Amino acid sequence: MHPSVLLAALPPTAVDDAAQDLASALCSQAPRLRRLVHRLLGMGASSHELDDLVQDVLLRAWRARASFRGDAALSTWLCRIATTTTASHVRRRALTRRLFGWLLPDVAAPAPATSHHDAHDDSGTLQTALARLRHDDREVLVLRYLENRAIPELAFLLGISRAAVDARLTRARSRLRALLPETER
Amino acid sequence: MSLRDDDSYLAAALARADARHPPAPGAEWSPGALHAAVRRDRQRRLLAAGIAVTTLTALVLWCRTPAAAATNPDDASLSRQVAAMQAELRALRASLHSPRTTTPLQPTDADRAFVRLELARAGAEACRAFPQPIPKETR
Repeated sequence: MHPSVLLAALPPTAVDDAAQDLASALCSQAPRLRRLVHRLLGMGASSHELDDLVQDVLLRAWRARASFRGDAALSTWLCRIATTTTASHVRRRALTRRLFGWLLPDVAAPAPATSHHDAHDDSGTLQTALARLRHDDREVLVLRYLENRAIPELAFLLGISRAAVDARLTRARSRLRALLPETER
Repeated sequence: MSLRDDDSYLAAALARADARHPPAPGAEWSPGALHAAVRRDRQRRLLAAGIAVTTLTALVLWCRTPAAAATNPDDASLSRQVAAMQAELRALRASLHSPRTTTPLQPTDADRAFVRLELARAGAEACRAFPQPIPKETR
């Protein structure tokens, strides 16, 4: 049965309790969401940007709580919301840069957070390459290799077929390789 | 081994990069904070909706200026009619408030006929009140 039907059948105090439980469950997922959003943005996002995005994800989840049918885990449902929210944030940011980049030079050229040490480190190089990837490619790599999502789960999260997931993974890997120096390919 | 060789190598390399670049610590989330954020978001949306409605209303009102109305045939004819009526009203007012400009009334044929009839009736009544003896005819 749909959760909203169940909520409607319950007395008001029980509904309040259910909403309170959901709010607690959402808040407990906040650190995990923060890490996911950080990865999806190429590990170079500012703390402020991450805070805004996590809040956005939680608000969207709260507004869409009636659509949570329970056939997927709460973390998977939240992961899907975080993926779409981050994708739309990246699109908006790109548009802002294109329109107002000449007004805001700081926004026009964001650099991934790399230290001097990272320049001589393979993880730093890989992180830089990951940050330079297109968002579509980075998204599928992060979900597959850092979030350890299986292909069917990826198809659900990205809203595409399994064949399309395979194709996107292959393309993303080859693009990542192209961005790495010869020694690390 | 390299990224080309093994999928697990890529996973391990990405995990290393991820471990070296953790996210900056963020704000703690509690149900109270979430509800406060929901309230703020609702207020922000209401404000945005209000601004949008006000802007749209202002745009619609601004577009319906007399210049724009002149381009619309219906509005233009209506405007002409109103202008003609206003001019007529002004002329009427002017004629009412300035007696020097009024022209004296000219008697019409009907008026003249009415006067003649009245005079004839008055004459007939006078004859009836003071009858004159009819002189006898002498043979």
